[in-house]
Amino acid sequence: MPLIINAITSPTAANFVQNSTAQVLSEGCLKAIGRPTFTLMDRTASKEERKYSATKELLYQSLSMLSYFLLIFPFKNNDFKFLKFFDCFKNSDISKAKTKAEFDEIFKKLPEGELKTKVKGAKELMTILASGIILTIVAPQIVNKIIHPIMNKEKNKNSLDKNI
Amino acid sequence: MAKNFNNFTNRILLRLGESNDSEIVTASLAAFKLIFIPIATMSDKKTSKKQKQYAIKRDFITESVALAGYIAITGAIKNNLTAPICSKYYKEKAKELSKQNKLDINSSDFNFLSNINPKTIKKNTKNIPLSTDEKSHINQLENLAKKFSLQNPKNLYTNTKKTISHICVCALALTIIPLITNKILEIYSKNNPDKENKQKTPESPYKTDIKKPISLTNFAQKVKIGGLNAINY
Repeated sequence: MPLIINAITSPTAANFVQNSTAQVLSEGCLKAIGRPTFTLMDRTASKEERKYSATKELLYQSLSMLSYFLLIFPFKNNDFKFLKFFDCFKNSDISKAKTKAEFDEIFKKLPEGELKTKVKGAKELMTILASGIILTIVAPQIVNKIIHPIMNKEKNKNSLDKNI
Repeated sequence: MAKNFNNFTNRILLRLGESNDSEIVTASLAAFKLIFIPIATMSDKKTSKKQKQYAIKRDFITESVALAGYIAITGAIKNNLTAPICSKYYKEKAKELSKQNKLDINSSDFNFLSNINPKTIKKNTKNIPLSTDEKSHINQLENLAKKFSLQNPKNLYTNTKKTISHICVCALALTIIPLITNKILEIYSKNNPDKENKQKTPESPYKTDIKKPISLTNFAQKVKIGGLNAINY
């Protein structure tokens, strides 16, 4: 019990879960395990329907996590370039930064207050939007192309097994 | 109009900058998925209509349950559990300190740390006006936290709330949401038995609907050879 209490109340855990990327990755990995398992347990649909849905979900979750992992970090390194689109940063030095190092330096020098909180918020908002685009527009396109060859392979395997 | 939009954006930025709880990110992603995943499944032209219908139905129900669950369930759990866990933290720390001989079990500090009122911690963090007793309670707690290098009540509440919200989101994603989806689909299929039976009919033209085993005699009675039943031939 003390271990659990220490883990839940720890500032390190709080810092980790505060990061949008960590939140999306951990939730996505758990979904990749949970959803296909429960889809296969659903007795209201035929075996073929369940198999298609479960395979699609497993592929979708794993591929979307992979594409998310590959795309989100380059985006995060360049997200400061989008700050100029927010009205509240137009007159601030933070929107004039041209490189990541320059941005980090200006951000470090910012006093704790509304502007710094807003910059943090804007970065999180952009991460959420990018995650949404990667996970719901890019990933399904890849999954739709990959799912059929995999499903066909599995069908052929099953029919071979039956014939033997 | 533009001013309203700017105010709205500013509020969102401040909210996300102060506390980016897990349920905000996961709920917004669920909203994205609620719209785009069924569209992506619909655009898949190589899959049969029935398989697509089932996948769309399942995705739609799952994401709707996720959206509601992440906001409502996580919100309720973190609001009700955070303060008692904070109080438990101080109790555990008092025990730890007494084991390290830094705090006497019979001392008033030990009793105080073991009996922290969760409601006061919650009120203090949410900036709800405190009574004089509650103010002195918080002051004493802050002093003891400083003295024994424990977490400040406000920081402790915020950290615990963030972690609880993430644990809740993970538990919902792993088991509770898919389980609720299965239950909803079960109820749906019970209420629409005809539709579901139709969906379950086999697709392959090679499969037959034979339910009883056919004996050779029965088969011969039905087959005619040159106008005569095969059995009499």
